[in-house]
Amino acid sequence: MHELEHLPTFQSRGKAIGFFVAGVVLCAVGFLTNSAGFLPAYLFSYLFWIGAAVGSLGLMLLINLTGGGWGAVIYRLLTAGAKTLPLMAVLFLPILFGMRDLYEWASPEALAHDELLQAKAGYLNPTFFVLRTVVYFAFWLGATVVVLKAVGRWDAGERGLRPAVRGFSGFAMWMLAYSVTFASVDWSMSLEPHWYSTIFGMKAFVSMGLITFAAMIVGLRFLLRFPGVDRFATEERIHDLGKLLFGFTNLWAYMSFAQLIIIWSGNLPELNIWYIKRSLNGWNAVGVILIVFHFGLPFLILLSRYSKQRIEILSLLALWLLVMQLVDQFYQVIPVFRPGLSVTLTDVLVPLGMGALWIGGVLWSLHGRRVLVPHDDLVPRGAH
Amino acid sequence: MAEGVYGLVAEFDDPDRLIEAARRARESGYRRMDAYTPFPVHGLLEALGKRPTRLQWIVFIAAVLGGVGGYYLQYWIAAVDYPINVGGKPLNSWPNFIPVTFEMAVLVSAIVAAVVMFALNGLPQPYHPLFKVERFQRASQDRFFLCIEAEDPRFDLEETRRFLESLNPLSVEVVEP
Repeated sequence: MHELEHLPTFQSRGKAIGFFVAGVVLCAVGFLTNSAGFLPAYLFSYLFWIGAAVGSLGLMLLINLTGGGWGAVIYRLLTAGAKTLPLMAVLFLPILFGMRDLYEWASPEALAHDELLQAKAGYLNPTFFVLRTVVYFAFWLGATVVVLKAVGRWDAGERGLRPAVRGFSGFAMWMLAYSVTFASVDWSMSLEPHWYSTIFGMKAFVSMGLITFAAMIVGLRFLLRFPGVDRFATEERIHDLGKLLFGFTNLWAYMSFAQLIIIWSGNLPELNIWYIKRSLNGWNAVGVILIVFHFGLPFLILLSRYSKQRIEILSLLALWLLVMQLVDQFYQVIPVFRPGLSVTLTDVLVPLGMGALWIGGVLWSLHGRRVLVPHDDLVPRGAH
Repeated sequence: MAEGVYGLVAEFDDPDRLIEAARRARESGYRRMDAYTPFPVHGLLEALGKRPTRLQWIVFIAAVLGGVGGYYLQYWIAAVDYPINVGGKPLNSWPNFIPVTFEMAVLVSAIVAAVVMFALNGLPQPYHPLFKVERFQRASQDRFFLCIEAEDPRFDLEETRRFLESLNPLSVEVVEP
């Protein structure tokens, strides 16, 4: 354990401020260059970055349940990821205020002429939407506070804590599945309120896991610059993270394909509209890009043990998967607002800007912390 | 090369010492040798200078062939041999063919992986000269063995024995074929 005492601490407050400033500037430029296209771009960016925040909480719960050295080495990064949840709650406000422009069911004019929307109004109405969003964040923030308490005790040098947090983590994981399912239905699926997909929540859950694993692998590459970290982040553990990234890439493909094959086989008019919209006016190309570059290429690269064990290759691929996840969110949200495929400067600047804010939040809360949490599973088995 | 001898086996009580012995043997020019341990020892393969397995490439090719075969099976049935219109869908309804294509790729690669793994390991092997060495029974318990085989061009009964004894083993024994 005494080796842990000598691990360096983060000195990242200055960088955090830099990222915050960059984030605000990028979002502002995105807004000024195309104010009409700002809200949709903001929404798909938000759906991506909330995945990294909620996914960090989910991964901490998972690690508390399963244990494993791979989780111990990224645990500090995960605490910082989950600590961005208050920031993400604030960043949700533009979506609340822009609700009428984003969601068809929230606009009184659309509601007045649409029987189906009227029938669904018991669930899809602005008041209930706000209330549910508050409940999601209350649960996510509350669970984060509980988990961070255990982290505080680890930092204080307590051992053998995992059994104590396991029970809560099991319950919270169960609640997380519900909250993420409902949140994805509310925030993303209800953009097309006539359409539904029963696998949508599961797919959102998997996407969050994939985004978080990819973000943590990229983060680990930077973490390895600190002296002493490589004693804990061994090749074996990097291999484990690589395997999990591979697993989640396949799971994402499985969920996406399952949704496609069910809707394509049934070919029912209330279901196939989603894919018809995304196969016309250039959108089909985005679907093909996702199949080839979100699944095909990463699948082939991650098949090899060689690339799963090397953080240089793995982190590049993780970065690539993050870009592809962003494309997937773009593909889900933007066709609702623009029937023809087009990418504006705002669509690029806003996700980058929100990402800078998120990374700024991560760096801010990492400041002054030791680079690794002295988690129960941190010291590799067989290490002397 | 000595007649009537399979090789010389040295016994160690520690995996690190075995790795060191394998490394030194390789440095001394020995190539035809093998190590026997009760559990997988990390770094031993590299110390012995063994090539990484080619199994993964064989399995990959098997997966590709299984997938292509699985797809072709469905394509040939649904679009060539007995074309039938299902719900107005194209005869070559590729989304519907993906699950079976995937399953066939997994099935064929799993079977090939198991069979080829046994074949490349030379299994099943009911007899091995080392079985005659009494102390070798502990290779499955708590001892680590390095055997330099007589087929090695540098093998010399006396010189190799002296070399192995210089590695401080618990014992060195001659293995009969």
